[in-house]
Amino acid sequence: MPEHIEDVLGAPDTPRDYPAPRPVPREPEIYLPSASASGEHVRTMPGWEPTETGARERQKRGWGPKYQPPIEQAEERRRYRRICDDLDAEVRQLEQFVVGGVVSDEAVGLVAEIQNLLETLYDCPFGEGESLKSVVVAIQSQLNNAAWSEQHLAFLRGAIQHLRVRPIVNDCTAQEIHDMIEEHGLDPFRGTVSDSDCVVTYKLQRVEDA
Amino acid sequence: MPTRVALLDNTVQVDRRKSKTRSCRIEELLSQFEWKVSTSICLLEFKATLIQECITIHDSLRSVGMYTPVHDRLTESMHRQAKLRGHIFQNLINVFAPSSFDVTEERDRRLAEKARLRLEMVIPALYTWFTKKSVDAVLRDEIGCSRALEPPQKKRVAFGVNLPKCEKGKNKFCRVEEFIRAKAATLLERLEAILREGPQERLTQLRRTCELFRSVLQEPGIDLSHNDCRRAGDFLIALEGREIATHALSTNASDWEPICQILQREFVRVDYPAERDI
Repeated sequence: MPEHIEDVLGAPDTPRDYPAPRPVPREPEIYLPSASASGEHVRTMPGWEPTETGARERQKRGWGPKYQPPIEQAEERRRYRRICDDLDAEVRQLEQFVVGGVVSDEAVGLVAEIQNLLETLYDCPFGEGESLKSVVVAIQSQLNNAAWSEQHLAFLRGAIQHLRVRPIVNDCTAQEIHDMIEEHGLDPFRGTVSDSDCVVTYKLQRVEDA
Repeated sequence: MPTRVALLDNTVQVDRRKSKTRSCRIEELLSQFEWKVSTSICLLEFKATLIQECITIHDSLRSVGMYTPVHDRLTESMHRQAKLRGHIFQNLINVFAPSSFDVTEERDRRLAEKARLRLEMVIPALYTWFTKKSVDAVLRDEIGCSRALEPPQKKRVAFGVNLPKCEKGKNKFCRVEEFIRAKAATLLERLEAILREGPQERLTQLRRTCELFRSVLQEPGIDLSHNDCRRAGDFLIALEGREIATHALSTNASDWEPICQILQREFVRVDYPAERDI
């Protein structure tokens, strides 16, 4: 089997007066440290090799080829992905109900649907060990029994989008979601009373001659 | 060098994580200070109280596997930390049933599982919060408590022993005995004078501190463990932070006022006016 076109057609004739080909501009060197772990075609800095620690860290975060979802989990992965897609669609709808930075009462049905989908995600048997359950608990710790604001919505949107693109779910995923809580200005130790401000003050008054 | 440096004791650090109202009040007080510091012995106390109780709850949830019985047993017992456990259940675990919740065994097991998973996140986060976020510095150069430097770590299913017994050369590399000999010898007289003059029933911890200091000064080969250090916890915290702190903050005025008097530091009592009306 011929491997090159020249094997079939022969070497192309080059006329003597043909101008010399212009040099092809070289692509700028890109120094990315993920060449060997992920198998991508990326040039590395001359004299620089990725360290073992770096490779281990990348693999731990689920970026290496070792952490591609196994074929046995294909069905679970499909189900997981479907739930994430549903959650994403619901969150996008919910964005239309934000009034004055707070999710309005009209969206109560959507909120209930999202909470229900989170419970379904909790039961989804995908990911390493109990990591997916930890992820859902971390999300719910900020959303349950809270008046949802723009911050909650941004956190939920960020978390769902992060989960959708993850090939696998492991302990690092749960930690990443936990880190996102603070990144979105929420309190990881928020407590039962999330807002202790006085909203309305009532006054009891005796009615004479009732 | 800042002119106002607050030394936070364990009661303040625990209250900052207990409830939102207390946390807000403390942050309001702390805004008057330029720096906030704590010490390795305070971190030891934090591990022995809040983190230890979280681990106890985690272990019970794991072994019993149900939420309500564990909650009831741990918060209604006569244990000295029963109230703290209540705070942990309400404010840190923070798992809630949906409104359509019907108390069945299956649902209760689900809640227990969620609570356990939540604690697996919260316990390391509490340690990280203390060491990296709560204060500007954790002073550990002088004593360098080995137990305080060990973050809580989850093994395969449970957390490892939170505070193993200190054994010199094996797992203990602190300098607590040398520190007490160097610093406390000059303070012992003043400490004994306060114990003679002050109200006896209110100075229990100071008396224990005095006994510990005397035994360290008299026995050259004494080997203290973390339980011994905790007996003199407040005094060691104050001593460890004395060089930098100008003020000491605590909710425990009966122990900290005489300590600050001895060490010539200003004491700021942390109280919660909003809770008086409840």
